[in-house]
Amino acid sequence: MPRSRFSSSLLLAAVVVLLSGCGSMRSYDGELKQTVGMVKSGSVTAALQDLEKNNSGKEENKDLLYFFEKGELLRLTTEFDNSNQAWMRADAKVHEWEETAKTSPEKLFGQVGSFLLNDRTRRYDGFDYEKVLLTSRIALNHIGNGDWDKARTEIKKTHEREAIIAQVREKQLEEAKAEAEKKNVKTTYKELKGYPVEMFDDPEVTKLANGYQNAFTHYLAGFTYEALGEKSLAAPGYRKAMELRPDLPRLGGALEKLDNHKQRPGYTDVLFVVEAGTAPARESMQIPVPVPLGQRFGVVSISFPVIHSDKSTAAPGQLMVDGKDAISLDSITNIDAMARRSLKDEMPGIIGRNIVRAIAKGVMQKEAGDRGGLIGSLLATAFTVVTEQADERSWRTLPALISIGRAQIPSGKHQMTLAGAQDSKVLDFTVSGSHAVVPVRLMSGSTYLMQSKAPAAFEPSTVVANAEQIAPPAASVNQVEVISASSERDTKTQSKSSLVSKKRKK
Amino acid sequence: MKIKHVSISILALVAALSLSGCETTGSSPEVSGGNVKYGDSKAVETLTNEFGSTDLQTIAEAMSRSMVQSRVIIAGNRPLVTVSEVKNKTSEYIDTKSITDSIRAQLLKSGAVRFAVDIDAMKTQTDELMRQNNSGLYKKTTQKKVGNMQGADYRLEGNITSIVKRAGDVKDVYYKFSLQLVDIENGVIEWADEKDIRKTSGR
Amino acid sequence: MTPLFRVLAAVLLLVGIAGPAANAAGIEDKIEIMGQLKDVKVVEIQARVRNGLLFVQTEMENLSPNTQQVFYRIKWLEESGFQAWDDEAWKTLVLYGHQRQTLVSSAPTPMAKDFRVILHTKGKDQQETDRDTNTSFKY
Repeated sequence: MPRSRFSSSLLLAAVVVLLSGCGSMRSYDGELKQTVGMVKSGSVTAALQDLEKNNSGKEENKDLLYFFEKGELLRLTTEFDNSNQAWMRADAKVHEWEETAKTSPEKLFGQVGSFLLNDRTRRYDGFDYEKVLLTSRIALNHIGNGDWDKARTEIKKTHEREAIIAQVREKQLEEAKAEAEKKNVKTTYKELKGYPVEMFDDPEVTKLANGYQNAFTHYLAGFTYEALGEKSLAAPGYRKAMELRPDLPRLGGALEKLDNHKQRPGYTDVLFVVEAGTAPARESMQIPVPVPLGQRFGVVSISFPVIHSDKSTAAPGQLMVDGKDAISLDSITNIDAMARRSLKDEMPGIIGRNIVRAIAKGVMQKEAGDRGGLIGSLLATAFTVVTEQADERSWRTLPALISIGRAQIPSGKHQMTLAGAQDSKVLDFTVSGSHAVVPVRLMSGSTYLMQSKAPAAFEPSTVVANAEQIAPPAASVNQVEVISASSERDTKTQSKSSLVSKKRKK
Repeated sequence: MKIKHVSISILALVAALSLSGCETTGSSPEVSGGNVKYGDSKAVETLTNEFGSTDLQTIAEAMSRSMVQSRVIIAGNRPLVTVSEVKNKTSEYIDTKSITDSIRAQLLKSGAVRFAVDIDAMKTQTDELMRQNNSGLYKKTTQKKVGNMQGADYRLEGNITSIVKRAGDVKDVYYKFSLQLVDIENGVIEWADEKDIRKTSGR
Repeated sequence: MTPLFRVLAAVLLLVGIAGPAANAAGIEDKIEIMGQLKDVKVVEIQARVRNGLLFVQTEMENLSPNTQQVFYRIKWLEESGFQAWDDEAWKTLVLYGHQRQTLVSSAPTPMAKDFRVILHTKGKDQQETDRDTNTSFKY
């Protein structure tokens, strides 16, 4: 009898280790630290290779995170089509999640395996803010290609996605409350000794309405609809952005302009999108928590995720166009704060699962010790160590902060400098058409300009175009502009490789 | 023992599922995987209290019915109307173009009103005219002449507003859609009407 | 003549309906009920033509003390009995306990010379399943 008990628990441990083998042993934080480091030093190609190396498995086994990061890296090299290809794969996975959310949301609330194992073995579904930002970024890529209609489709998808997330979270909150009451788990994150609660109490976090809506997405929606001449849809976009960030009075200007503004001929309405840094890392932190073990209480060390912000890049407060026109930048979306807010919302669930698991594990360890002597006890301990790592997965190449500035400038070539950026390079950019988006990414010492192609379809509607003049495709500006002080060589190979890929397509 | 039971019941379940899956194909003009169905496109939709298909349909119906009763249209000389903007003053993404499109379709079908192309369609219209006249590709006799477009007599414009309130678990949304018909020559408002909708949801 | 059977022969004549519609001898002929309509009664229907358009006024009464929800729409018919217009959108009418409510509908086109008021309430079992979905998660 004792023997069979022992062997069954051994079997259980073996099964558990086998199960977790796929995802839980990798250190996402470790992998991404390296990848992000390469991007910061200006070498996106190396970062891409690094990402591929870390995800060398079968194509169909690649997870949401891989596609998130890959799309972002390709966007930095302005390969908008390839970037969207990766992101559409991610989008398909998010869509799967949405379908589950619509038909059987209860499945999402507690993925069963995780009660026994660690959170890292749960399928990575992406955080809500990541799901929302994904479609916004796909839209930005389409705008980069001058395809505003496709951008509109993605933006509409964002609205629907937000609505689904809102419903699921509302439901989940209720259920989590009921569950905690039932299981009698009363611990909150405030009672975890040594846990850095200050990351949740920051006003940047507490002022957020929720963990998924961001003002940038809505402002971009407004801008896209405005560019397409759909004022009735542009207005709620700007209005929502204002509601989400009432502390940024300049956002209201867009709404006023929508009604009273006449486009000056020969001018382009430009939205500058300046993204700084990277999304924060999630790291494990071991905290001793008292849990009931049989008749007595025992202290079990449980790992909880903590947010580690990327402070490498300061966000500039303004930018200069052609050395004379200063354009103020508003930091409209703080992804770092959103990540912390998401974790804060998740904490009750994480604590609940961890405590239930700690109890189960404590019982198992005790039993293994009682029945199996030294070997059993050792095995169980090893298992404890291996599985006790918090879930460190998150979309890391997202920026930490998104700032926007808006101005009407004459269509054509311009130069831009960013005040306060570590890299004070002058960026050449070109705008044309009635509306344009100029996205810039600052990462530590490197600056990436993701220059848009001209939106050829948006000639001012008052001009009656002569039919014989079929508008030539806008002169393609040098599309790849990786400006980096540290690696000139990499810049060159980059432009070459993207040129090659463009030719191949034709 | 238990495991055996479970596996047997799973087997039974799989068998049952695969059996029921086959029934739908072949015998009826429907190929279906199960949970997708066509529904009544005119059904009252109350899934959420955001602006929905029923609101669009009832607004379009109420507005077009009311407008055909207006004096200028009853007079029977089929005035020429153009659709101007319906402003969205809510913070919901409501495509007011889609509402005015429905209103326009119903009015046109009633035969009481004619419509001139609106600003959005203007570019396509002028492009087409220019292509016929300037490209040299078209037969002279079939070319549509420039300078014959008709100016509208009336302009249709309006707005949609909402009042949203939440108290505890209850969310109440009130929509008001107003539309007016303005005589373009003299600026007189010849007709105006409103449709309001209240939707309340509780958890 | 009870209000229930106050047939609008005079009105119909005025409208100029010929054929089977003119022979109609009750409100029932102008109403099509789908599902159950136990607690709601159509008290009166009137029709008249104004400016070439047919107007229909339907008066309904809630016989029960509970609030009732009725779905309705009007089917507009040509003289020949052909449908003169597309299916209308279903509309809801809320009747508080014992309330009488009048609905006025106008025809979308002068072609419409006759009509049917189509009424629909939730059947009993329908109401029950609705209550079920309310407690579970619903989109």
